[in-house]
Amino acid sequence: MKPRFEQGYWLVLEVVVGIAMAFLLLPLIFVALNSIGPAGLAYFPPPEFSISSYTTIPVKWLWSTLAAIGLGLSSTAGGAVLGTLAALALARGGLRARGLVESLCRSPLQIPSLVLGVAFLQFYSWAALSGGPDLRGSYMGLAIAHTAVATPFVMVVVLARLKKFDWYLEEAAQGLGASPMQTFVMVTLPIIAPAVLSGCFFAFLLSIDNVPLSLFLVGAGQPLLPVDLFNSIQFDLTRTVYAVSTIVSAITTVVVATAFRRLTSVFAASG
Amino acid sequence: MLAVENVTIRYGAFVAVKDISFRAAKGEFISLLGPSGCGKTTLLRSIAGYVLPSEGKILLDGRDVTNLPARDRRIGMVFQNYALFPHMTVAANVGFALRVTKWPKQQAVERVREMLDIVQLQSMADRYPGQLSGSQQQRVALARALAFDPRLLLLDEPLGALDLRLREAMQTEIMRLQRRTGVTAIFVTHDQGEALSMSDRVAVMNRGNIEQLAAPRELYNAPRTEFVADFVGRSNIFQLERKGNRWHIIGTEISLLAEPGTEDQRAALSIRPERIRLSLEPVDGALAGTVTSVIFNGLHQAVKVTTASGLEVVAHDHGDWHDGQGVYLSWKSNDARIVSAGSRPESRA
Repeated sequence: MKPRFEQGYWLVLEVVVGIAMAFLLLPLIFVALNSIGPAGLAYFPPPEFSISSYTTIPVKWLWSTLAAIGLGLSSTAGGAVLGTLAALALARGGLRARGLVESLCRSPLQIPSLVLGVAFLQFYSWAALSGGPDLRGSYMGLAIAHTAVATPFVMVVVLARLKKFDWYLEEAAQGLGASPMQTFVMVTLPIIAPAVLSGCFFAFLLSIDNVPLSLFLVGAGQPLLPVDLFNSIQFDLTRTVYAVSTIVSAITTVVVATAFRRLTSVFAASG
Repeated sequence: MLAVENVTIRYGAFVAVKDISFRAAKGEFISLLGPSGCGKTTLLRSIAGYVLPSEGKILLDGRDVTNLPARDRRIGMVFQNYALFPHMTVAANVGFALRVTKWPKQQAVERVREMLDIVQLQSMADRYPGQLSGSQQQRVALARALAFDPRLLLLDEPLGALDLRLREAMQTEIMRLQRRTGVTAIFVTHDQGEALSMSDRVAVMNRGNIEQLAAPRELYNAPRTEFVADFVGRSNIFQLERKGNRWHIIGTEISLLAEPGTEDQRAALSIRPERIRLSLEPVDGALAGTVTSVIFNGLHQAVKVTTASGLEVVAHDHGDWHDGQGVYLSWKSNDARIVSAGSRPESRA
């Protein structure tokens, strides 16, 4: 039998957690419920049960989803490489103005995405007008901007892991005859890999729905899921939007849940 | 084999290692012994190639390796925390050097098996370091350092993390491995018992200098400096002052003949507690004193005596002594060593 005050404590905790969960999940449930109904203008509650909103999803949504995933994967890959290298350079020390370099590398996290988007657009325009490549409205331009945001995400997580990295392991490897490259590939990278992966994971999730950053950089008619959803909601709020959102939420939930389980087990194994 | 020539290592204004020179013969086991901060680990790391000497040279088999990166020196090192690769099995750890230096696969597999055999860890080949006990990890670290036939084996306080019993077992194990492979070994420790019992020669280090490099018995019986006398074993140390051709123990009337040829005005006298005899009857040349404390710790009984002249002397003697008793102290003249005066280990000063 638990003491009385402890029972009260648990009750309060359960109520608070319940409210928080409802607050987080109710909008999603509302979206899912509202997606089940006849296609066309969306209002709640749907007049009748129907799955026509799902069966009539135009194929352009598939392309814009794939485009978002492709952009997420490529910017995450770029961020993984740059973020890991930056973290290694910062953690190893011997860098001049280390603090300044670190805050500069972190800065894309602190600047609002909307501002970042405008800044990239201006920069691309300037580059194009001064005879450089025209990255406006191109996937390359989007990928560069998304990589700029993904990099600090990976860097911050890897840097935290390197704070408790045993640098004697690198010395040991070199004493045993390993070149710097062999040392990195065989010793350092496998040990920090779980941190790199979890940084990538968050960077990918953020890229996938980063509307403000992409809004100014996407070209007219260029498919990209978060921007297309945003425009659809703004201009023609149909049940199709709800259906697409529900599918995307379901997929990400499954992916996130499995990835998280994998990541936690990798972390547990690597200590 | 190994020659360290006038090596000085500076960190800014701080001099960690001051103009050190010594040689190690093939198959020799040398310990670098000293208190923390004496420069022993820094010296070891410069031999390994992790620290670049500010001045001086390091030669291996007659070849200057001072500027050679660690990976090209073929020196096996056992780190204080073992530094085993946590994501590799025991076998992969032991075979790491063979893998990166591209040994033929079959030969490498056999070599790993042989090394695991020597350290008696065959059954642990597929385990990860995290699943092993401290002394097992230690043996993996040794096997890994020896697997690639190193020209030199360096050990940086490898027994520090083990408890007393395991330490003693591992001391024997390290000596057995070293004899068996015939590798030249440099062993860093702050534990004098460890250094004395394992080494062919011991270099006692203090403030970046080697105070004395000698065989364990010589180091113990004939310390050259006050620091060595006090750091290696226990000793009664009395400050001496030169007056003419005699040394006087400061604050007493006792004096002894100085050896001709020494110019020093200051020195110290060192007498091991177990070399001091206590008696109730006065013998020739004995000092009279009073017992002030008797402490028995199983290994020996430390009898503290204050002489009429005010000296405090500790003698190890198993007699039936008690506080306040009047006694006579005596020793053989060659058990009293005149050593050069200097700093003493801080923990005991």
